[in-house]
Amino acid sequence: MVKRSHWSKSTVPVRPQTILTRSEVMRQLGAFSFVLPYLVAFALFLAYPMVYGIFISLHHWNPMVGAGGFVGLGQYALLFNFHDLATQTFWQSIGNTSLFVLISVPFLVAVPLILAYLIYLAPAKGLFRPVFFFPAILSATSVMAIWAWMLQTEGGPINGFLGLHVPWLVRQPWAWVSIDLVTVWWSIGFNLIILYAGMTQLAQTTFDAAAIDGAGLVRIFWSIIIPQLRNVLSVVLILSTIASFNLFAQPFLLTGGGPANSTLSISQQIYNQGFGLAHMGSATAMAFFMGLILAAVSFVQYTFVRQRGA
Amino acid sequence: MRITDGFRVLAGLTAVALLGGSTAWRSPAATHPVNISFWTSGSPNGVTQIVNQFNHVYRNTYHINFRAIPYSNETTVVNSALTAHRAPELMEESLTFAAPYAVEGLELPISPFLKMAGINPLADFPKPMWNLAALHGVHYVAPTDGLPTVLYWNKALFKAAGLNPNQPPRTQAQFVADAKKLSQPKKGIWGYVQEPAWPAPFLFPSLLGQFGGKEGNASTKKILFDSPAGISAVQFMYNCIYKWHISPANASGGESHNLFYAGKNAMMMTGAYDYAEAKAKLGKNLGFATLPVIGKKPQDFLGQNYWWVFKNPNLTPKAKRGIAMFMKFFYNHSIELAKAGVLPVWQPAFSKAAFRSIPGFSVQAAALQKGIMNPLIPGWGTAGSYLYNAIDSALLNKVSIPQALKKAAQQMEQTLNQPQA
Amino acid sequence: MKIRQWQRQTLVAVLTLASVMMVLPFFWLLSTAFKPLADAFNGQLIPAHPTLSNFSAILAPGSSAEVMRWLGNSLLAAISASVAVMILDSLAAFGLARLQFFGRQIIFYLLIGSLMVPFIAVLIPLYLEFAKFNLLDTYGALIFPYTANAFGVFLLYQFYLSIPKELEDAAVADGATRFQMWRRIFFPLSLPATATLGMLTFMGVYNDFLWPLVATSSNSMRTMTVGVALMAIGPYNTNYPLLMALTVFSMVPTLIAFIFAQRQLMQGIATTGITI
Repeated sequence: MVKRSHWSKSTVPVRPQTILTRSEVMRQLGAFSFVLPYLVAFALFLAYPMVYGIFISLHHWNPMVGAGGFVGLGQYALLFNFHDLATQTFWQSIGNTSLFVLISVPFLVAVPLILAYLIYLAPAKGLFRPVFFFPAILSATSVMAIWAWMLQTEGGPINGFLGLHVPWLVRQPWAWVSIDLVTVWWSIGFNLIILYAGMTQLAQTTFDAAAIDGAGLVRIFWSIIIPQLRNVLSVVLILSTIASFNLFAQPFLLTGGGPANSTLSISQQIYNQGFGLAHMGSATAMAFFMGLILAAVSFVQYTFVRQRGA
Repeated sequence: MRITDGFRVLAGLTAVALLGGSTAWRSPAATHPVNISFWTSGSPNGVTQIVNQFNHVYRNTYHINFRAIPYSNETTVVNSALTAHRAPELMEESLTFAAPYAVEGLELPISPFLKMAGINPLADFPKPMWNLAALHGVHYVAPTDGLPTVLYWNKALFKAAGLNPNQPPRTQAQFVADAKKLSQPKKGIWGYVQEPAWPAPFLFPSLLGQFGGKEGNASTKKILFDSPAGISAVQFMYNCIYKWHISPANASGGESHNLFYAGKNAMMMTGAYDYAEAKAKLGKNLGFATLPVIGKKPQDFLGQNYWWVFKNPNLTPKAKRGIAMFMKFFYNHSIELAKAGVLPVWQPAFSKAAFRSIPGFSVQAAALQKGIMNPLIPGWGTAGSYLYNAIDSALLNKVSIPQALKKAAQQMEQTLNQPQA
Repeated sequence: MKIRQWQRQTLVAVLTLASVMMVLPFFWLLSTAFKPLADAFNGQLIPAHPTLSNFSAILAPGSSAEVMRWLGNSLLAAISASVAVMILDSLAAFGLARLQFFGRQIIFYLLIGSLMVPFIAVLIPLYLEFAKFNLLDTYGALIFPYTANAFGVFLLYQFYLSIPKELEDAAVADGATRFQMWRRIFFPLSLPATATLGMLTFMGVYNDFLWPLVATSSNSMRTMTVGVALMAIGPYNTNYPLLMALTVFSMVPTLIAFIFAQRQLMQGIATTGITI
């Protein structure tokens, strides 16, 4: 069976200590020094930026000029001032990104799950797995360069092959279809090998028993594989949700956020606000807000699958 | 497969390796030339030649580090560089992008530099290009080159359609009639390609002007393009797709160019910045003329490149003199721009025969006479996305044209009038 | 499991079809990279007039695509970051999993909490921090931020927890110091997991897009990913054969690495995926 993680059970015991001798202090410092190098990196490049970010989000901040006036929670209040155009665009980008998550995550879990099962059953497993996996190693740029060309309306090879003029990147809903198609192509391999590895750890005898009872391949998939893979599936689900919420490169390089901002992602809106318009105070507030949403969603998912899996 | 190509690759690799290695051996120059970095988001064609000549002539005193940055990413690149304290001394960009930096106090007034260089802006630049470029009465920028909107056409396709390859359309009626003859949708050949998503920031203001409209008023910050003229301008683009069927519907970004270069699009109306590339790809089949009169009168949006000096505490008087000398050198060598298909804005050049004989120059010089520009409102460049999104929606048939323009005008007005966040 | 003949054949057919769909875009890319511009839109999968001119154009000195430099930047950043991550994370994970010290629990929960922070939330402050220390547009900017990710610490922490206490006791009996214990027992035993972490970090850094996009501004400091992307939306967006040649070139290092390490990489990801 799949090993579960230890950390939620919090098996970090602390020895009760009353007297600190000199040698004990040295021993503790010595132990601490193992963690110290990483902690320095952590403090400088993660913890400090978090705190600094809070400070920035309380100000007007143009990076070329320096910090502007203190506005308190004004930048956060602005996120709910729906007369503000940047706020409207921000909420539009939240809607867009949520839509993408809702469409893409089921595909990112189901397609690799089915493929993993097929490969599990098929001969020549070693041949198929790398084929499905290899796009996952490509950079966003490479992937988008290929697809931006393949999906052109008039001159693109896909429409040329189909003999059609599908407006892949130009009109909705096609723009989302394209972005999802590309995302699935790019990243199913990652989930596929995790799910496949999960399947290989299931007990072969249950399948055989089920097969003797007359269960077909589809029945085994529904009644044995899926329930028994629940833990691995939940990991894949959470990873895919987080990755999908962080959507940036696909619309940025394929549609530029269009048509008319309909594929503008939260990340791109933050990028535009911070680096295009140089409004870093409000961009940071947006980013923190997005961080909260993301943390909440992954937390809910995590506790939900945990309870059901317990 | 041509074997020589393989050798060229190898040679290229070797050259790169040598270049990388040679910097270590380069003997220190007797005198250290003062480095001046100069970036442009415009076309490097012609500018590169001028920079090389300057660096050669002044090799002991000054060195211009020239860099062309991608135009689609210019704002973020320049903003990042400013934040990183790595901004160039001299920057050339579209005029609308210059205004915010001036407002933020990041630019030096340009007049002292022109004075040092012995340039008289009132006489040496085309008048509107100088006069319209003042912000609150101060000039921070000076024009470098103009990019009129022009008509490109494929002479071979004209000939194949039974049209006179040397007679481009001059009116809307001719344009539509020619395009209909040129279009063979079944073969994938079009008379014209109107992309919904990128309706050429050059084309809309040109057509707007031709129909008698204005984009906005710089002093009141009032948006004026949601007028009957603006509606007519977008209606023309719309009709090309849905009424006359001379353009494919739903063309992807860049397809107007891609298909033009592939010989599947007969006409483009866009900025003159593509002249060099189009000439390289179509050769003598390239036709190049001023815009036809789609509206009521000839008008032509003029893409405008300007340069300015970023405020920098490390800028020495000697470097300032170098910048002024380079400016003068640049204008005096305007012929290099003209040869590369870029329109210089150096008034003394326009009367010279050497310029007039360059193909493409006279077309652009004629277009300059009918030139119109964006109103100089800080933030116009980035706020423009509301307008382009609106035109996109209208050309995709999602919103009616008047509604789209009205909403865009409201959004732009709100953005341009709000205090900077 | 018992599978009938027709089922097996159907399976292979379906998987083969799916595989073809997976690799087809890649072959289109390759084919276009070797086509002259005039043939770019002719729809042939096998180029009628194959040419290397696109490659010689991007590699030519003075090309606006400084591909060799970008490649060097990417490799330098990815290798430095993954080596740093492997060492820092392994040490920290060992300390947290097997040693006792004051504040250990707090540090542990801090790291776990940080796993929930999306990168976008620290993007701007990180950028302004680097600006303040004059580190934007340097190799420091391309390497340092990747060393703070707690994922690796967590991954190795779990691994170290599973190493039997007896090994540790034996080492203590031999008089080994804690550092020797890490170097001789824990680090070697965790080498497969550490190598997976290294490979994942390498891939992540080599392919990262948003951070190097904002953290660099000069052409010579761009990474391969960002350099290619800017050529794609800039000067090359109307010359697909050139762009495809550039893309093929940018893929070469990852493809080579993939060919040699695909088994280990897939194994590593699989184990990571089912243990976290």
